[in-house]
Amino acid sequence: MIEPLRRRPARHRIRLGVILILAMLTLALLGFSVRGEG
Amino acid sequence: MTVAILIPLYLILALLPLALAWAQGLAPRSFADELASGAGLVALAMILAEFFLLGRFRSITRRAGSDVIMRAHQLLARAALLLAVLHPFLYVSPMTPPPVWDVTARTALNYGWTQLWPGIAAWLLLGGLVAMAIARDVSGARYEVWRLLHGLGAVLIAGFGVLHAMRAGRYSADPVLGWVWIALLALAVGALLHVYLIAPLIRWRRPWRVASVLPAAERTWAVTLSPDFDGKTRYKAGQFAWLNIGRGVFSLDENPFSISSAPSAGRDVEFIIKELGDFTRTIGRIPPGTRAWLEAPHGHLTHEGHEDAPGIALIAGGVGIAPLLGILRELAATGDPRPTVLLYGNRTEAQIVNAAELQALSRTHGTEVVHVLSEPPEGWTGATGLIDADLLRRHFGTQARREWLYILCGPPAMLNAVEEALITLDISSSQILSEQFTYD
Repeated sequence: MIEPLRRRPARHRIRLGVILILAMLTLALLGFSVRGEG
Repeated sequence: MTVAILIPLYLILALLPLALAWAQGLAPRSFADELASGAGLVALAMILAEFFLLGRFRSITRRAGSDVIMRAHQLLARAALLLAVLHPFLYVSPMTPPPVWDVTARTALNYGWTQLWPGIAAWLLLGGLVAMAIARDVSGARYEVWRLLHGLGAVLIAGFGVLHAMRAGRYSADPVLGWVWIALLALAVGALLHVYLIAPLIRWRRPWRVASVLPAAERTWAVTLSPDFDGKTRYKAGQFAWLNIGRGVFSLDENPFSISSAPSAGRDVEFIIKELGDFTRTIGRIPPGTRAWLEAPHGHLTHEGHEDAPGIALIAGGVGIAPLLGILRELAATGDPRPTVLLYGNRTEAQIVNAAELQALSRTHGTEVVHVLSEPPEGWTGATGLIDADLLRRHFGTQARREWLYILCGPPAMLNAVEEALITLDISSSQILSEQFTYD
């Protein structure tokens, strides 16, 4: 079971924070790359 | 500054060059070419952002904690490495001079050696740097040498990376993005210069000397420093300092240690240091009078600012007792009336730091001190094993103790287990403060 974000102590939230950052970076990269397609 | 602000700030920094490239409105190329360029832009921005995640900038570490920032530094460096590794292999356009009509290099990658070599240098160095950092724990390389190489390598990578972007980059040829790269590089190198040059110059006016080095437990020492200047170093009980003993003020031979003295006890500062690494092995032989330099305070592990908590639970593993001892001493010195429980885990009885003082604190301040030994001696009547969910439930499972403040310091495995157990006891994460003492 995944604990809700707010219930995790700071050190545990780090992984979620990094995953969030990487997800946003990936989305931005994909947006940048497909902007000319179609 | 909270984590909720730090994450968007990081994203803005990491995505700024990509956004500026997007805004240039150049005719897009194939998906693969654009992904390759985008990966390069984001990787370089992430590398430059790493310089601010050093665990040394108090405005950044105040809320998140230095260990959290250092972990982010490690994880994000690996992500940046992945993007940088992929960057050259994603391109599909031919490497030929583009036709004269193609002024924005849409159809070809015109890469000569001048454009490529800084990129190749940065690419190779980055792989080496991250591999060296990951392998450091097992390689036994001297910490100080590693740190110097890590800093120099990082500056070279940032410099070569920016040079490559400006010479070879289709988007970085734009003057606005070019200046942004130079500004980010200047800020990054400035951050490093601040840590290694400006901060030591400020420290130089505040010299300390070793007053005493006394045994505190098996292979563990209590090191007391006295200031050789007027004034007092402000810190909160439980915070830590970067400590340099017997070296020049600019030396990289400094290590982070928790302060175990109480701020209200006077101007002297005490550290409990266990013989674990290169520097700490020699700690017992340091003569009194040795010059020392302190960069303090750092860290968020303190009871101060949590006056609403009706009680305080301190949970320590091994030498993780150091900051908690500072907090206990401060609570006793200030006559804090709140109930306090210390759970203190060690392997053997000989490893218990300041056992007599803890006993005295339990008498004078009323702190409930619970020793837990994983290798108890014959006739030991206290708790045995590890600080586990059962033990935590016995001590903190009641409704009243759910509102307490929980302060944890110890090895990573213990912290993970204790945090998980406290969460299952319905204790809110905002009441749990933790810091691991292995720090890199």
